[in-house]
Amino acid sequence: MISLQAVTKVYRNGVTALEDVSVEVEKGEFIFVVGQSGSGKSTLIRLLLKEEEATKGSVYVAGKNLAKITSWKVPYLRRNIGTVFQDYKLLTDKTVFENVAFGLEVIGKQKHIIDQRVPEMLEYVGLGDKLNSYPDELSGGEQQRVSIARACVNRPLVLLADEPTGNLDPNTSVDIMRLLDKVNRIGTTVVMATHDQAIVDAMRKRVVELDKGHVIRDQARGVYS
Amino acid sequence: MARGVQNYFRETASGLRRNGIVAFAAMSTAFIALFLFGLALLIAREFNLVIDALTGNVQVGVYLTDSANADTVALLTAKLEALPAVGDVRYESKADACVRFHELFANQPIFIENINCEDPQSNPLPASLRVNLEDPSQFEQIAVAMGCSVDAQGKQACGPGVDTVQDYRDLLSRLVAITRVLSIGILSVAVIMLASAVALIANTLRMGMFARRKEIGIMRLVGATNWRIRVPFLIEGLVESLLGAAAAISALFLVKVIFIDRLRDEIKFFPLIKNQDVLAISPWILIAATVIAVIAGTIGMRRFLDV
Repeated sequence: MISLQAVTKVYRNGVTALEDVSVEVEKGEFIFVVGQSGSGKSTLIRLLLKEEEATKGSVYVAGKNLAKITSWKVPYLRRNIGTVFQDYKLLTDKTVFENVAFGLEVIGKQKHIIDQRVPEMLEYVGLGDKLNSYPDELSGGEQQRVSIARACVNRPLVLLADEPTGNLDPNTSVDIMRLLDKVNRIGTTVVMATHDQAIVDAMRKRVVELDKGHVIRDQARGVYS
Repeated sequence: MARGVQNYFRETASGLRRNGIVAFAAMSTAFIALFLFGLALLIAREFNLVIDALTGNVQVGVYLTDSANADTVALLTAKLEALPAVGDVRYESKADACVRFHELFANQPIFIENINCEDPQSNPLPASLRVNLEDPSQFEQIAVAMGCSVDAQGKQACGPGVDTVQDYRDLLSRLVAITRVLSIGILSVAVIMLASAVALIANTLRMGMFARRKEIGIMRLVGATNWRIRVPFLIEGLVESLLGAAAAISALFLVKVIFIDRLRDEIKFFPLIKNQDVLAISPWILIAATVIAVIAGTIGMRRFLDV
């Protein structure tokens, strides 16, 4: 599903964020990418979204070589990839329903599909009763659930989560992890960048550890360190 | 699809609201620019009417006597065409001259109401041969060929069938020059204003994109195409410049009604532009407005074009 082959990323300012990184992720896998700040986790996520391009090596997502995708086709790549971030990225002037619907509207989905899928998805993430609330009226955990609902409502093949529990307390984080696990169980490949040790240790999933841009560990059913 | 279109317009409307003052500045600049552009076009039209009325848009008019018959006309035409300096010769009958006169002064009824083109008795306009020269310096050839000579009092006497030969070379070239200077002058100011309009509209689009950068970021993440992201802003720019165009067209009508129509009573011997002339230049103003919007969109969103 995802394949990085000897990928090196050097930013224009000369900083080497990733060096000779190779990782294979099978369809339906759940992997943690761990490491300290600046270890290259976010760069890896950005490469998978084609927000950045690899300086050397190749990146494959859903069977496509990202270097060969023309810029006008990038949006169609991203429709197969859901994204969740630490800061939720919700629109505060839209309700929960509208936030999730927005993700479908802007890719041209029809109203009847939106009206059917959005409540279904919000029910799935446990917010079936908050359709008309605004993000400001929700707790951090609930806001992250909305963001997960938006990421998953178009049924992506891959879910990329960049520090999704970074702003949440431990109990709420566990709830969010349960939800991501649930999303993974329906076949979505999940890549989660994190430095939340407790969560990684509790989940016992595959762990890829980065340090200064190198993969220093790739362990099935691993712990944080 | 209907929902899609509705979404675009909702986003455009909210963009215009949010950007109120800047959008207003952009619209007024577009208005002034397009107004000047239209003014230049109208002035060119007015001068063309004047040129037509005074010279018939030719360099030389050979006016015929009312007694000249078809044979005389044919003979004179052949004589003129034989001259190397002559470019083209066109015959305008009394009736044709009358019709042209009626068209030129269509909005000044006092001037034309006593002239009936059907009735030769009431038609004072002479038939003429209208001549353009290959070589304008060779005017004398024509006068000679028409048998004209000037007597001591400066009065022209010509051969059979010819009343007078009028030299319009000077008048024509001066009028054309004035038209050119005026329209080019106003057009240059208009071009500068058009450029400002482009800059201001581009700026409103950029500000709009900045205000909505979070929304745009999310649209990118979920895989909205660039066009889906840009179209609401393009429509916004188009709405601004088209509102400016609508204001400019209305203002040109006002100018025509307030100034030109008042002149009509003062200056009786000049043909003046009509409402149809304002209508006729309106499409050009709308096209210019669209061009402004497209250029502004391209410039304003250049930074946001990459994924």
